Order: sequence, then structure tokens, then C-alpha cells
Amino acid sequence: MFEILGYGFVIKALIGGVLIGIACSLIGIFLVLKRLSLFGDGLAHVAFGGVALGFLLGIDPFISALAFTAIGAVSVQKLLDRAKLYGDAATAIILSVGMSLAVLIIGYVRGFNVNLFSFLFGSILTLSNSDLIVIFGVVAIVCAYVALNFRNLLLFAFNSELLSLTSKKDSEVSFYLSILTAMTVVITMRAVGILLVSALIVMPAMSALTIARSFKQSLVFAMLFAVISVIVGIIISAMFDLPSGATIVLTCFLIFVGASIFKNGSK
Amino acid sequence: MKSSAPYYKLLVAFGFAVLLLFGCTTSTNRSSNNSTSSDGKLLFVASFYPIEQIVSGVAGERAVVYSLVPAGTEPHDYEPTSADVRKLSAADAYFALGSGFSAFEEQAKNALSGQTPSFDLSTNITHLTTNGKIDPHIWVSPRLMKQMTEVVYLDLIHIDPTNAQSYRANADGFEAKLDQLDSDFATGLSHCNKSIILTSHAAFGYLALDYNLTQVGVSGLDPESEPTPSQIRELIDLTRQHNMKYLFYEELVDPRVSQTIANEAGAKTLELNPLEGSKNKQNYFQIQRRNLQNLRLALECS
Repeated sequence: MFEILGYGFVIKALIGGVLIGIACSLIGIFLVLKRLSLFGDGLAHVAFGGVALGFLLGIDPFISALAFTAIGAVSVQKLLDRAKLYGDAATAIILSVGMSLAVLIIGYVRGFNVNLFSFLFGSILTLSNSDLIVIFGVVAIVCAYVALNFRNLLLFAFNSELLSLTSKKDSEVSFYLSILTAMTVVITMRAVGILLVSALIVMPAMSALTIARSFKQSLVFAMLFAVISVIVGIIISAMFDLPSGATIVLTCFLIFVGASIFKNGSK
Repeated sequence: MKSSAPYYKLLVAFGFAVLLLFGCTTSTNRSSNNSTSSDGKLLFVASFYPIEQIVSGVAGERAVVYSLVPAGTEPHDYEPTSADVRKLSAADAYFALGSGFSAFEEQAKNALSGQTPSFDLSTNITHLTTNGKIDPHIWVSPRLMKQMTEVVYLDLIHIDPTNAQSYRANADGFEAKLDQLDSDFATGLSHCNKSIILTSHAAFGYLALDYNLTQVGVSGLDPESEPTPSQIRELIDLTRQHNMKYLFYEELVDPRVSQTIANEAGAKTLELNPLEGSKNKQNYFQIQRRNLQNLRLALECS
């Protein structure tokens, strides 16, 4: 069973998956606490529009998706701040705008050379070395930002009013968090596809928040759950010949179910 | 009396309108020479690339052939546009592969107006089955292309009997080119060290059958489904086992799966085109000849 670990593509999938899991779970905690659980999903659809735009303009779809998603993320924050929209409504707006833009571009170009739709599903088993480098870079930035701004993020997550009283950095924090979410979504999309991005962002965070006793603990648990889901998911998919992305997401869900049962049992 | 004149004119106009409407419907019923396009040519709609190649090969100068799936698109990704629906409703005939190749082929038939004939080209062909599913990629075989050419010829003389002779001549010319291609494949692939085609899309079953090769595909018959770890592993093992230096990928699909396998097994990737579309406006024969070249390189033929 473990002889499959002798293959480079599985090792790359494990490394890439663990890194992505760490970034997703860190970002996920803040999104879940800010009631923006579907923000990642919305941004993933914006990223799809960015990929289509990249093909249209002939630039690397990875870069165009990154730029486009960052713009989408910041505009959601602006919608929240200025127009006083609810988070889910703002997410619904950018999700549909991103997706319809992608469909428009696809219709306009009438025929892409490379299968655009492979981005809808992603493939963690075909990560290249350069993908791994980009993923590593993004994860390093996310971790560094969270570590350096831990106090502000904590205030941001639980009490925006207090944050604005102490340092007036609320909009700044949400701006950087949006950019980081965009970057995380784009690398996650490469691995598990657009449709499953929000699962990796939301579920480990939810599981952790269910059982953790402190904020720090919930960050650690979220990372732990995400990493376990990725490793177990890849191994199970290898053992039973299943698609890897969906297996990872279902493992996330099982952990969430386990965490909920554990919580109810310990009451 | 004065008021009866406009009334009379209106009646005449109405009569003309009825006649015109009647004339239109009868002309779209089995249109023989009453063509819908302005330059006197018939308008044929083909579902996708290989069908378009055959129909324009046989119809020649007599018709304009429009392909629903645009040149650079994978047929599995296609969705009809409003322009496609307009073409379909104006078409003199519609040609599809049939045999459950793709849902859009059947959907397109709904957009045809009233009596426009539609033809399935693959009805008389014995299909291969892989894992209980019919393998629709018959057009990769020049021999089966020839059979479908004959079907198109019979369909065309049915729609437009007056030009039967020119259709026969065109069909003969197209079939001669297919015969030449067939014999080039047969001789080109007769002395090879290897006989395995490793590909990311199992579309070459009929080609393999014709020229005694074995096809091993990554993701079964559908280029969209995500490969599982053991499928990738199996292909890495096969590549190593048979000491293959080349692995095939296809033009219209993301080549990452093939690249991953090739990297790991120390092989290179080569294109093998499943002829589902052409991004460089190349014809069927040009694409097939490049396929033959790449096959000869990968299979180490002399």
C-alpha cells in the first residue's frame, strides 16, 4: 500500500497539499469568524474569470487569476464598507460577476487551445516544481502576515470596534486579509479546483472552532485538521483509486463530523 | 366604391403573403435547388471537425459547410451559441456522428426547422467498447472515415439528386486520399520496435485496431475526468516497463497529466491529435500525417 509513496508525483502532491492546507486553514479561521465563509468560493469564481482573461490576453492564467482575484477581493471589502452590504450578498455579487465574465470571454473567443475547464476541477497529482515554488511563496507570506499581525487580526476577528479604537487599522487589516485570501484561493484552485476551494478554507476552521478553547488553539487545530485531511485524503484516494481532490474534501467533512460529536460528548 | 379599392389591395397583398409563406415552407421541405444561401450554394451544418471534413469533401463547391463546434474547442466542452442556432434553422441538412457521441449533437436537432433532414454517419459501424462504454472516436481510422464518406455521398444524392455526378466524383477523390493515408499508415507502422501508444485520452482505439497497436489511456474515454493516483502510477510503470521514450498528449487538452508521467518516467511528450478540432486550420490529412510522423518516432519505426 505505501509503495505508492515511492513515486515523485505523490510526494509532490503531499507537500503541495500540506502547504495549501496550512494557508487555507489560517485564512479560513478569520473568514468564518467574520461570517464570510463563502468568500473563498466567490473569489474562486472570480479567479476562473481571471483564468479566462489570461487566455484571452495571452498572459499566464496563474498571474491574471491572481491579479483579477485580488481586485475582486478588495472590491468586496469596499462593498462591505461603503455600501454596507451584508457579507453574503457581496459574495453573491462578485461570484456571479466573475463567473459570467468567464462565460462571456469563453463565448467571445469561441474555442480555447487548452482545456479551460481543467481549472474547474484542478489536479493536485500533477503539480510541477514551479507550482510548488509558487505555493511555498504564498504560504510563507500568509504565515508571516498572520504571525506578525496576530494581535490586530485577533481584534479584527472578534471586535472591529475595539480595533478601530486602539489603532484605527480595521480597513487596513481587511485589505491585507483580502489580498491574502485571493492568493490562497488561486493556489488552492490549482490543486483542488474551483468547486472545492471553499471546502478547504471553511471546514478545517469550523472543526477547530468547534472544539478549541482559545483562539491560538483554534489556529493550531485548524492547521492540524487541514494537514491531516490532505494527507489522509491523498493516501485513501491512492488506496481505493478515487479522485484526490474530492477525497480530501470528504475527509475534511468527516473530521468536522468527528469534532461535532466530540464536542457534544464532552458537554 | 372608393373605399373598396384599398380593401381590394389588402386582399391581394394578403393572398401574396399566403402564397409566399406556402412557397417558403415547401422550399425548406426537401429543398432541391432552392438554396438558403445567397450564392446558390446549399448550407450544411456538421456537428464537429471530422464530420465537417467529410461533408465538405463530398459536397465540394456545391455547399457551404458550417461546423458547430469551433475549430479550437474540445467537443466535450462545447455549448451552442445563438449564431449556431441561426445556422441550424437555416440549414439544408445536418450531419452528426451519432451513436451517443455527445449530447449536443442531439440537442442541435431540436433547432432544425421543420423538415430539414438530419443524418447520423456512424449508424452502420461496429463500435469498440471499453469498460462497457461505446468508444465513439471512429474518425481516427482512415478506413472508417472512408465508410462514413460513402454514407455522406448517399445522403447528399438523396437531398440533391441533380448533382449526383459531381458528388460521386468528389467522394471518389476524398476516398482515394483516405486510401493513400491508410496505406501510408500501414507501411509506416509495419516495422517498429514498440507497439504501445500511451496517451492522456484514450481516443485512438480504432487506429490501434487497424495497425496492430495497443492503446493505453490515462483517463478512460473522457478527457475531463480527473485521473486517480493509481491510474497515473500505472502509466508511469508501463512507461518504464516498456522503456518508452515518448508519451502522447493532445492539442486541445491540458497536457499536465502527460507531463507529470513523462517527467517521472524519464520520457518526453509528443502530440497525438485525436482530430476533434484543429487550431491551425489544418485539414484531416495534414493532421493525420503529423500523427503518423510522431507515432513513427515514438514507436521507433524504421
